[in-house]
Amino acid sequence: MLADRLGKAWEACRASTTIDRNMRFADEGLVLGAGTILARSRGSARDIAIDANGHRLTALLAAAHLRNPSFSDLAHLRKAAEVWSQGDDALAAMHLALSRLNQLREPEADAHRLFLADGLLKSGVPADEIVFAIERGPAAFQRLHKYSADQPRVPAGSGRPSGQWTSGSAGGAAPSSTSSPPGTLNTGVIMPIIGDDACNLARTDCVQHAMIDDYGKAAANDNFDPQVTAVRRMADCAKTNVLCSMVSFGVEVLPNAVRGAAIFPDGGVVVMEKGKEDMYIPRGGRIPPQTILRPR
Amino acid sequence: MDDLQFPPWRPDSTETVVSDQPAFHGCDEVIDTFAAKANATATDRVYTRSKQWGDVVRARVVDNNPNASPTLITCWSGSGDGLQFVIQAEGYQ
Repeated sequence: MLADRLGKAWEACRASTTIDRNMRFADEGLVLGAGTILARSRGSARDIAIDANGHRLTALLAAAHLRNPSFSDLAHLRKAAEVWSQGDDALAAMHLALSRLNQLREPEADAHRLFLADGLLKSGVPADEIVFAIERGPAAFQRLHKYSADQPRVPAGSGRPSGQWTSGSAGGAAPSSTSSPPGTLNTGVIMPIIGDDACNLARTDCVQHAMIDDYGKAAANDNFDPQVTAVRRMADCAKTNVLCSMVSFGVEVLPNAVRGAAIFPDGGVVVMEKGKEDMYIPRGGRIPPQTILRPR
Repeated sequence: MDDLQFPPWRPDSTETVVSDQPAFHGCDEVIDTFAAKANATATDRVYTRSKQWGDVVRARVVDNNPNASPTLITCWSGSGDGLQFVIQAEGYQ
């Protein structure tokens, strides 16, 4: 499994590599953290090309710094590489500093995320998925210090930011197995979302839930590695999104098919019926088999 | 949109495993089309019949992506005129 491999690779890397909190030019390219190569050198050590529009570089830097680098930041990196190739080390160092991307604030944690992002990219995970997860992850991670894993959370589709831990009974807006008839999803409480973007919305929530749930487990269990399961779940969220679109297509074009549904790993469901708009029902707890979907 | 109920991934006690697969041609076609569009292969098909679900075909849809789980697809005839199907990633049932 990819996550297992990355976990072991990180352990091996840490055993043999010192984390460098400062970005630097090396023979192999532009390097940061635990030897992660942001941009690889080509013919010679001085020949490094920075693609300021490159998704890979953006994903790596977003993972390292927990923010999307601006175009201006990336332009300084590109300029740094340019003057580095001309032998002007001092000016290169200045542009690295001006990029505001050259230093890790929390070297161990930042280098770890950077390492994982690099591994995910090499394994074929789209750069956009990594950026998306990073955008959603830090806030969820920080909330661990304040809330316990089993506190109620705001359900998706409730009109408030979904998936967040909350207090009291606010999270109870989602139907529970004790308040609803068995196997019934009360969509009168969880407002279904109707439209062409249903599958994408479901994926958005699914990825967010993967981060929140698995880091929540980590808070409650020191032996639980959230990276292992969250990565897998995010991949399954993304795959289900792709297949969800295929179901939608299939329902429309297959003459015998009248209705289809895609159940996302977090329990969100997209229902598709021939000739009608797709409907996304956010999760309100896990949906058991034989659930009755009761659209509005 | 009417209520949608779907069979559990694992056949329950009300379902009878059957072998007269020609009767399930419609669901086979749905699964084959879905798998082809996903560049994947449908395996481990199970054919059952019950009063509640009608003819049911379950299959695992496996592709070459080692980073994500296989997909489970369940197609059933129900009592209406058309077929219905649901997909979900394996491991989250």
